[in-house]
Amino acid sequence: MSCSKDMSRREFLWDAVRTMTWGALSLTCIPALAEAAGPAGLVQLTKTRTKKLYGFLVDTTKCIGCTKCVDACKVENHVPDGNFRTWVERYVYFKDGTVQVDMHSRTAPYVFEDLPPEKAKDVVKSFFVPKLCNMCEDSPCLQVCPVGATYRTEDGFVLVDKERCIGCSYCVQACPYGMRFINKETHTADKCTWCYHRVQQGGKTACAEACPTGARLFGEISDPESEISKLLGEKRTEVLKPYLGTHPKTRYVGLAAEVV
Amino acid sequence: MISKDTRHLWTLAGVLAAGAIGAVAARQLLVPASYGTLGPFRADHMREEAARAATVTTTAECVECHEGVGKMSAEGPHKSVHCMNCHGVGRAHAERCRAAAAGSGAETCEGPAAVTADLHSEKSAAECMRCHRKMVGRPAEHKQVAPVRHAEKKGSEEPDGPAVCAECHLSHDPSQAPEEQAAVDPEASAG
Repeated sequence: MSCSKDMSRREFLWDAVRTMTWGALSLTCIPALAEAAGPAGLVQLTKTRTKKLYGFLVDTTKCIGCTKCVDACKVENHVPDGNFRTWVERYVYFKDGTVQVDMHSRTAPYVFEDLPPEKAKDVVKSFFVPKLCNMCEDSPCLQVCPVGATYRTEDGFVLVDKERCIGCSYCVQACPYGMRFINKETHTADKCTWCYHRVQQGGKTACAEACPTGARLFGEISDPESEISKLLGEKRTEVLKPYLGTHPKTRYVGLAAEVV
Repeated sequence: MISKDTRHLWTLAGVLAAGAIGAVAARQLLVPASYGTLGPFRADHMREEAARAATVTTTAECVECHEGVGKMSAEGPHKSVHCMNCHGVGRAHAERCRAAAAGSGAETCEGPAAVTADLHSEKSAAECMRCHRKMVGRPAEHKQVAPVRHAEKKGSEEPDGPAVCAECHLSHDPSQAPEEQAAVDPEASAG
């Protein structure tokens, strides 16, 4: 190929034809390559699932704000004081159109403060919203981890390997739901695991185990006969911040536009 | 006699080879064995995490021994309440009782001595109030009381006492009077 400045128009056009021909030919190889990669090829990896899949359904209309779930989670996962892998928020709507959001105390017992009587009389409606990891199918926290400390298991749990985590906090900032924190004892990122260990041992999450009203329901969504599958079929459910495209697996009943 | 240029090439090849060997060795040392086997992460972490011991007890575990009280609770208004909600986690107690039952532990599992630090059985009004204190946010259909006022109205002598609820309500089945408990499961209610 001639690169001299005085290239003639004829030479230039021939070069262009050659380049395009070889380019087009090389592109035709791609499907053949993907086929050669066999069952583990790019295309199949994303769709084939043989493992169980789990889901979490939070019914905010049933939550009584007893925070027994918070107790259970703290004990189960040794969460340091001041941090939470799961917590409960309270949304209170007043006559003047304002909305107040608060959470329980940060130390045990995790109780909600009483509203002053002059405010309490103007309450229009109020409810609790338990928060926990959404186990997003497109998790921002996983995408930003620079060292492969955060990963997704085949059955959909997003976990943190504290041996690999360097504590850069990138994932803490990336999670749009504020689920992650830096554990002050290990100095690594920490988050709700949907009690991966309990589930692998045949149980359910500690918070769902502790919930006395059935506001937290954990179950296998790959089994059409499970309680959660039936409820997901019956009820109209929502996810938090659907506009972010994170595709959360934690679904809610009874959300309001103010809940984020 | 090797020419100067050829020697240069051999030196370069040597340096590159040493670098490559060094890089492979460093990778072997620094990258954990299971890294990359299931994806860009250390697969062994998944196994370690899955093997972590569960702490929170389930009601099913408790009723293995506390059958009577479990049945009573399951038939009353507190049927969805779990043992651990009021009694604490009780993992140490459960394990100790299992070991005692299997004959592998020196400890026995009878009487108040079996109550461990992560377990309590006092009739504490504070525990009742975690769910039943009148509070903004709770669904209207959920039973709630203004603690002291309710007890005063019902004629309690110690309306702000630590065990005031138990004066009238049987915690395992609030639809029954407190005297019923002993008749059902004296052993379990003591321990």
